[in-house]
Amino acid sequence: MPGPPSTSPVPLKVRARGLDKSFGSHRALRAIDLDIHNGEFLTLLGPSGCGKTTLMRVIAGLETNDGGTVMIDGRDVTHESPRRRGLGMVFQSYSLFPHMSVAENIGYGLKVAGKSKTEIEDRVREMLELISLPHVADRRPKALSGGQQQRVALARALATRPSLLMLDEPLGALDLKLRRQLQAELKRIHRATGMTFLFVTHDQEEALFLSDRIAVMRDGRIEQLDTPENIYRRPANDYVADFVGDVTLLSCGISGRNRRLAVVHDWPNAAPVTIAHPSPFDRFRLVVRPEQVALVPPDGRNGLPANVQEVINEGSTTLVLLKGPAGNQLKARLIGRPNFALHRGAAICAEVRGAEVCLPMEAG
Amino acid sequence: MSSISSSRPMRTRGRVAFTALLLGAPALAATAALVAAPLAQMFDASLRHQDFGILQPGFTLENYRALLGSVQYAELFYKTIAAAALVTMLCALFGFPVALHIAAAGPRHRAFLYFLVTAPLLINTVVRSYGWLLMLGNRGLINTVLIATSITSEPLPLSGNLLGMVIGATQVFLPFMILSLTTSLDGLDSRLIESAGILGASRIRTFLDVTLPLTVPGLIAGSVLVFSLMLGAIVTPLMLGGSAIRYLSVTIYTDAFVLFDLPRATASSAILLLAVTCLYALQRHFIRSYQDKATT
Amino acid sequence: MTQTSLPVRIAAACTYIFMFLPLMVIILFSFSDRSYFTFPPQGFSLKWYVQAWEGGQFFVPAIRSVALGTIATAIAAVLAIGGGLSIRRLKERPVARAIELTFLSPLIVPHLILGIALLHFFNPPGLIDTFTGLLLAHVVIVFPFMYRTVLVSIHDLNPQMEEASELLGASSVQTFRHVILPSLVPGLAAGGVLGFIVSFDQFTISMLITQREQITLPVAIYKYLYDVNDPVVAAVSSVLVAFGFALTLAVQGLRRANLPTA
Repeated sequence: MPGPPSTSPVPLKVRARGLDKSFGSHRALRAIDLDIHNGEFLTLLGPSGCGKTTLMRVIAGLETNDGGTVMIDGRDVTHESPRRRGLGMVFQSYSLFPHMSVAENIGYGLKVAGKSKTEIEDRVREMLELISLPHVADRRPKALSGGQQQRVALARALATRPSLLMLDEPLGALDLKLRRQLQAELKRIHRATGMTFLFVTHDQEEALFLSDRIAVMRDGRIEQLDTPENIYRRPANDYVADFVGDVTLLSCGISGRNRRLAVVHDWPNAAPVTIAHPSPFDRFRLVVRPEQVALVPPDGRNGLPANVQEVINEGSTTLVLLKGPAGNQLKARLIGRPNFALHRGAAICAEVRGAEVCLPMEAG
Repeated sequence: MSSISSSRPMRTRGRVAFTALLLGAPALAATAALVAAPLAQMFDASLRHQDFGILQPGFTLENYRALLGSVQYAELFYKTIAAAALVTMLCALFGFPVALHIAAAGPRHRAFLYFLVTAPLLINTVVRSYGWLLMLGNRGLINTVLIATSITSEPLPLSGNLLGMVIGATQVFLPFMILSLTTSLDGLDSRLIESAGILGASRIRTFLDVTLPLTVPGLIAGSVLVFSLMLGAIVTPLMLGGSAIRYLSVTIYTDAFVLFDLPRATASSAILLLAVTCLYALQRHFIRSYQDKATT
Repeated sequence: MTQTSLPVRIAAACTYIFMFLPLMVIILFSFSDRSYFTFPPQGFSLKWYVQAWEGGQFFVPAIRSVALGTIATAIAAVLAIGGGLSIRRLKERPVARAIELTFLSPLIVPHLILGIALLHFFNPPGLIDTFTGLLLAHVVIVFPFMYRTVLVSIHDLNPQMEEASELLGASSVQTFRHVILPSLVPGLAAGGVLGFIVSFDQFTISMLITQREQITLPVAIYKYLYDVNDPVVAAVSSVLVAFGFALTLAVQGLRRANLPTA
């Protein structure tokens, strides 16, 4: 063996280059490049109409791309029919075959591949175990709840051992509690099977919870492709910052010898904010997450003086909307309830701790 | 279904259209070969001269000119349209109470009433017209009763004329009118009727001001349908009217099968077909514009 | 809706009587023991039914009508599935409307005209008074009814169902066989009954393109009526009335069975 395993390149599951797709005058995909690593859980995240579903469908072969290439496991499949790409897909609307039983649904892919009866039966039983629904084999899909139907759809897609599983907003039609439950289940199944998952959602919390990497999309482009940690803590631009989690952008100028003091513009009597890394810009916008804002009683020395505008109880946390003297807005998220009076109109001081991302000022 | 080759360009617009045409080709071929081609041939015959039963080469508009210029045919067209209009009006007159009755019925009762209305549709027109022969004939039910009760001494001429045809055809086409009216009455909001009642409108006023205007689409759709079906009808006119009545479809039948005057029969057929097609287009247009109005 | 008023109910009742009286008269006449119509009916006999069965003028045409209806409906069903899937794929393209109008054209053309046209069209190839000619005509008459009912089922098809099947490795043929066709069963069943009725009741065209050898049941009734006209016709007609009622009930049952899944 020539080299140690650590230096061998990570094999790519999907390698997409320059994907273009238009529907009439609407450009759904604009020259997209995307690499999906073997075994990872990658999420395409964005609002509706950003092209995330189109990108997935182009990789699956359900839409023809106008330009660019798709390679799966190093093989060019751009002109290959979907049935020959060896992929599995789970749709938001389940798309189970209503006239077949649950077992027939799960075994369908093996049946059309001409597998033997016993092989199909074994695999179906195995899949039903995997989705923890061993007792529903003979029922019709319509007799199951939405969550159960979606688990059967997952089992059906996994039964043929696809090399890549695609999930198109699979939890979109379910209520919140069931979503949480199935998210945990998806994570477990991803780990148990070791398969590559490509997931599409517009729900940023879901994306942050599930993914190894997230591609944030807008207008047919990928704005940022990174780990959930980096997407959240180090957004590449306003769009990503704003789309993933709550955020306030404060216009600042730099000061201090090590360029780590930010002077907040248009905020009378504000003390400079200490930032984690030296800022590359003289004038910039500071990305402030609500949980990076602490509230202290007003003493006129530290932080940003503000008035409480609204106190929103979120259960285990409390979101406080603040307004500065010049009308600037800021949000603070507190764990539990503070030990001092918080009511509408109360004067307070906001301290920004641990902010680290500086975005350039908008052009013009 | 398309055959599969591994390197074909997929799901392009061209391929979708090609597969679609392939799927639709048998049906398209069947309708083209068995409707369009025979009609084209018929149209061709309407543009020819006939000598001793044989069509001559060379086109002429003489057949149409003879038809449209003749006083006899003007009278025939007038009588045909009047009879068809009369049947349509009678269908509306009889159909309205039934449609109101069905719309007011509870769900179980309504299924039974639908059965009553649709069952005659599934019974052969020959059989239904035969029933009317038994009713309207000289020794039929009605004349037997009239003579037995000494209302008349001689049987009334109820069949073998336009009257018999109109009576029989009204019964034959009534279900179409009822179903059409019921459809629009079903969409009628009963709260409108109730609120009209609360506002003090009498039943007749409510009917004239609320019910009637809202059922106009169903009434028009049903009327166009009955009118065009009646224009093309042959069984009832022939059985209850007889081959001597002045009715366009009967005249076409006689021209074609008794007098063997193919050019005249085909030319009148072409005129009839044009009329029916126009009515059909009108109905489609009306329904579409009504649907557009309803959705916006 | 509020209760209908008395005059409306009386008018409705009169109309129902108007619609059913002729049919009742036929049934009444079929049990008479006279060969001419009398009222009130005199005597009771089943001899006209026996005569209709033994006479043989109606038996073969009845079998022919059933066979014709069944085969024509089956062929029309195949054409309708292809035609419906074709229209669905073409979606909103202008061609789709033209094709659809062609599909529906047999509905628009009056049967008298189509019959005359087919008579002259079928003459040169020798299709007059043949089962083939009859079948061709019936297929084209039944097709639009079949097409419209099947199209309703086709519009209800979920395209993702086909995509799921394709992604699971099924070929187009397998997807059609296992996914599309089972979804069309309700439409095919309803269209099948409707198509059969349309063919079975078809008179004008059958009359015009047959002579003696291949006449159908309605034509046989018509001819017998003009040749003999005794209550044998009433007996045969009564059977058809009963058959019509039974079919109506079957259709209503089908529609009700389809409702919950639709």
